[in-house]
Amino acid sequence: MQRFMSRPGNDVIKSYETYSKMLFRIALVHLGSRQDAEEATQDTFIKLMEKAPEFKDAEHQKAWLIRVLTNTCKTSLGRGWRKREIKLEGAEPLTADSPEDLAMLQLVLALPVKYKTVIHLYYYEDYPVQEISKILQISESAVKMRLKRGRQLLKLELEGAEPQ
Amino acid sequence: MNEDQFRSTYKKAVDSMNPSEEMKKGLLAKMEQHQETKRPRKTIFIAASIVLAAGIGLASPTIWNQLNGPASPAEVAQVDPGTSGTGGAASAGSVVIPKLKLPDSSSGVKASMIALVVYKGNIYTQSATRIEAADAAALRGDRLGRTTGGIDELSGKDEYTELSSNIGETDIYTVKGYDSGFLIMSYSEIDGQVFAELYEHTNGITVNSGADLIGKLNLEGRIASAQWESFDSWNNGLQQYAPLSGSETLDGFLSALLAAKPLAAEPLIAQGIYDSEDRKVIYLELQDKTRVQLVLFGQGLVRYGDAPVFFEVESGAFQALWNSMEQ
Repeated sequence: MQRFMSRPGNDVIKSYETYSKMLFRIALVHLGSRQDAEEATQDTFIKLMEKAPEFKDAEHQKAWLIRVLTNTCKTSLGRGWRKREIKLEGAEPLTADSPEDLAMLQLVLALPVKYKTVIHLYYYEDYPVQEISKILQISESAVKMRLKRGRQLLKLELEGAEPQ
Repeated sequence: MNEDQFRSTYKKAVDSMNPSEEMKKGLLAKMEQHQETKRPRKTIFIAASIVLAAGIGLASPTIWNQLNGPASPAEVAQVDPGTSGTGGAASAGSVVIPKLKLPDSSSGVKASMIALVVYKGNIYTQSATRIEAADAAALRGDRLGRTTGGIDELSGKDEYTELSSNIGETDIYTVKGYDSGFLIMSYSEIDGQVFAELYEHTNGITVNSGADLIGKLNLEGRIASAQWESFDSWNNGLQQYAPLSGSETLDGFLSALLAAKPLAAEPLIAQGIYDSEDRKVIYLELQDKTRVQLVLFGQGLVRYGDAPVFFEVESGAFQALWNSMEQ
């Protein structure tokens, strides 16, 4: 069992180095603004420091961090449409390495939250349906439905079988 | 675009998104702050006050979070007249939730885009009430039509095109036992599997009491079972549900909730209500198998879903339920 010490500079920072990019990107997909995504990521590591959970292994820790992050994002999104609209109006536009990259990001970011989270975990993090189900605590059929709807909205042509 | 092309293009695009150095600095600063001895928790004051600002009034007790600041005399929640368009303006004793506008993707990314369906000129958003696929068929009422397309259908449109949506193509039905002006259902069967979601209309309405929003769920006399979850469990995804004991306590709470005074969410959020972890979640499974989630805040407030309104429940009824939820 891995036990985190609640002292800065120890395992929390190691975890930060390992997982911060991944969490930031998930938060960015959720919230659409760098500032909000960075704040949500920071808050997730603060919770890691406070709770100091015991993890069976690295995968267990990664799943825990993603779940806490998505809850943090949910809370942020639940704080009211007005606040988010103001933020979006005043937010710096997202930039990417190329217009193609930006267009792709905007396409996914424009999806409803419940679809884009699943799409991101499936296509970027390469999580199978079963794992996404565990992380987001929704049924496997709900994950499949959200993937299906997300693909429809993205106008993806499937090649190969449905994910099992 | 096929799936493999999407995967590789999307990965490349996301790979270019990196956090700034400031994120790490900010984390270190926050961590240091947390190392300091925690201040003792202060009492949260509730003070009755009435504010009238440019014709927009907020008739409510003002509640504010003092966890991170010195105790202060009763503050007054100011409502910015400029925010009345979207945030839930209030008039004496009521909260007006403005009509949602359709997302306009031409103005840039809408990060917080929520799943929505347009029906009879109103926007229905994903409900805070859930139904399992297996139980959805029994609740399915009359077919209202089929949603059209998705993002492209909505982009840049000012009109509320009937049954436009951002959830793809699916059939929409009424929900047995509920007013279709409040609740509708998307339902489809794909490869023998049922996919169903509930959508609710909680905008463009005036809320004078809990009955105007919570009342539409027809809770009274229909609760089959009730559970609660601590904030810590919810926040950490532990799913540690415990049964709510005492049906009389719950009944008393629900009656008080229907009579509860609404408070506009925005001032409370600005005052930091979400900064506190003094929250508990209750789950009410109804006889029709729907599952209603309500969030209780230690200040005596209740919120349902993302509707920008809190309900201030009579303190005796609230505390009785709150105190019954002990780990």
